[in-house]
Order: sequence, then C-alpha cells, then structure tokens
Amino acid sequence: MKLTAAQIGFIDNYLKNSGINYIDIRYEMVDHIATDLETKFADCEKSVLQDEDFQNYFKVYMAKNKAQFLTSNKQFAKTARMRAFKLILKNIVRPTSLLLTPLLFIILYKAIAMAGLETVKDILHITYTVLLIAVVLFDKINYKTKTEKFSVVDKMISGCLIGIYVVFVFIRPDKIISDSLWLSVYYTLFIAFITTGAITLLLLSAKYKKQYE
Amino acid sequence: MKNSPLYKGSLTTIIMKLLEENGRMYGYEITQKVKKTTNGELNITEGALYPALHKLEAEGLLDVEVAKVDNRMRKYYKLTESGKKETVNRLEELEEFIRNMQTLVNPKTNPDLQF
Repeated sequence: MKLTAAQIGFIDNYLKNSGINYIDIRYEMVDHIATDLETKFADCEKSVLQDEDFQNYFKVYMAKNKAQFLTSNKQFAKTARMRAFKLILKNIVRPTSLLLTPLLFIILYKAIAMAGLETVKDILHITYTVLLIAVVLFDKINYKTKTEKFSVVDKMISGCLIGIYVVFVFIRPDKIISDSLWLSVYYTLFIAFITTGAITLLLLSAKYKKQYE
Repeated sequence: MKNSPLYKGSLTTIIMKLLEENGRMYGYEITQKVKKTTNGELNITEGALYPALHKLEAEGLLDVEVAKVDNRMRKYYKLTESGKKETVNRLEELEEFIRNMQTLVNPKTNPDLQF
C-alpha cells in the first residue's frame, strides 16, 4: 500500500507548520513517517490508504513522535551552521584563495596610495552597502515567493550577514585604524571573507538544487 | 534507542557498520535493520538516529544521494572513502572496548586478573 501525493503533501505541510523549515530535513522526515505508515498498513488489501485511516494513524503517530522530530530538527540546524562555517574556512585556506589574497592586498595598498584613502573607503562602503541590500532583498524575495530553504545555504547567508553587520556597523575598524598599511590588511581580509562566502554560497546552492530537484 | 549511555556511545559505529555491509541505506531502513538484528531489543528513535547521521555527514564520513520514491524524496546515506577507513578504526575500538569490559565484568575468564 502506498500513500497518495496529497497524503504526502499533508505530512510535509504539517511538519512545515510545526517549524521544520528546511526542505532537506523535511524530505527525510516525510519519508520516514510515510514509510512507517505504509509498513504498518502493508497487509491491508486496498492499494491506496483511505484518508480517514491515514488521518487517524497520522494523529496517533505524531502525538507519539513529534518531540523526537523536533529534537532532530534542532540538532540539524546546529550542525548546518557548523557545516556552513567550516565550508567557508575550508575555502579561505585553499591554495587559490591564499594566492589571490596577497594580490588583493597589493591592489588595495596601491589604490590607497594612488587615489587616496577616502576615495577607496567610499568605493568600498558603497560596494558593501549594495551587497548587503542585495543579499537581504534576495532573502526576503525568497521568503515571500516561498522558495524552499536548504539548511546549510540558509545558515551560511544568515552567518555571513551577521558577520558583515557586526564588523561593518558596530566595530567599524576603518574608523579605528588610520595607518594605510593596516587598513589595507583589514580591507583585504574583509573582502576575502565576503568573496569566499559568496562563491561558497553559489556553489553550495547549485549543489543542493542539483541534488534535490 | 535503549536508554543507556552504553548504546548511545556506540550509535555512530553501529550506523557505519550497517552502511559498510549494505552499501547505501535510508533512515527508516537503518532503524528497522537494527530492530530486526537485535530481535527488537534495540530500537533507535528518530531523535537519536538523524542527528547522528547528520553529524557523520558533516564530518565527511557519509555521502548523501537523493532519489524520488513513491511520490516523495528519499535520502540515502553511504560511506565516503574516509568513512570506510574510519569504520575499520571505530569497529576495532569498539571490539577492544567490549573485550576490556568482558575482562572487567567477568575476571574469571582472564587469569592475569586473578589475585
């Protein structure tokens, strides 16, 4: 006996409304519940499970197991954040990144020497602001159009946004550092972090879409 | 899962051993396999199984394959190359642990420990 597409959709909706937001874990939970239900009714003569039987079993099943799924979801979100952080770090220490970072430093240092500190600061501030707005808008549009969220991708976006916001709005090292050499170091590290984060995000997004769609 | 830290500490090794034997498996299949093998003695709950699987995946020991099965998506787990090597290590470690425990719990079988 197999569940219908509508019954599968019902389980998915129930989990989503229970706060299990990430599609990658919901797929797994929906499959677990559906397989369990199909196994329990395996000996039934009908080929499709009637909605009434389905609803009754589902209510009992969730009353018994909901807490387990929510625990699993909580742990999953934590693991996803750690995975996102590790992925960025892994990409930062790649040979390509390690070779490009000193190059970026030289470009910035020369740019400050040639165009002046204030001009470089202004250009970078405009770039950061545009990037920040773009990411926030992308996230909002995704939410409004109900695009499904993948755990590690979402945690990476929120982690990078928090990181940029804290450095860019609260710490403001460019206000504290006056020496152009150290300022170039700060800009280099900050740009390297943002660029690596963005590239990792795009690659990861493509990987998840390919894997799940 | 049986409410014992002894079992909980061995959960990832149990999962890896099953994947080593069966190639690729999905979550529900793992719970049923464990239940069947232990004649219902060991029952892995969803709250214990999935965090363990996700942790192993995050450590790069498991790989994920997704396939559409009966109107839904199914996540299959399989060991990566480093996962295969790690399984050997963890099984050796578990076997050694069991041997030591047997020696301590039942010292008569080991003449060295008789005073």
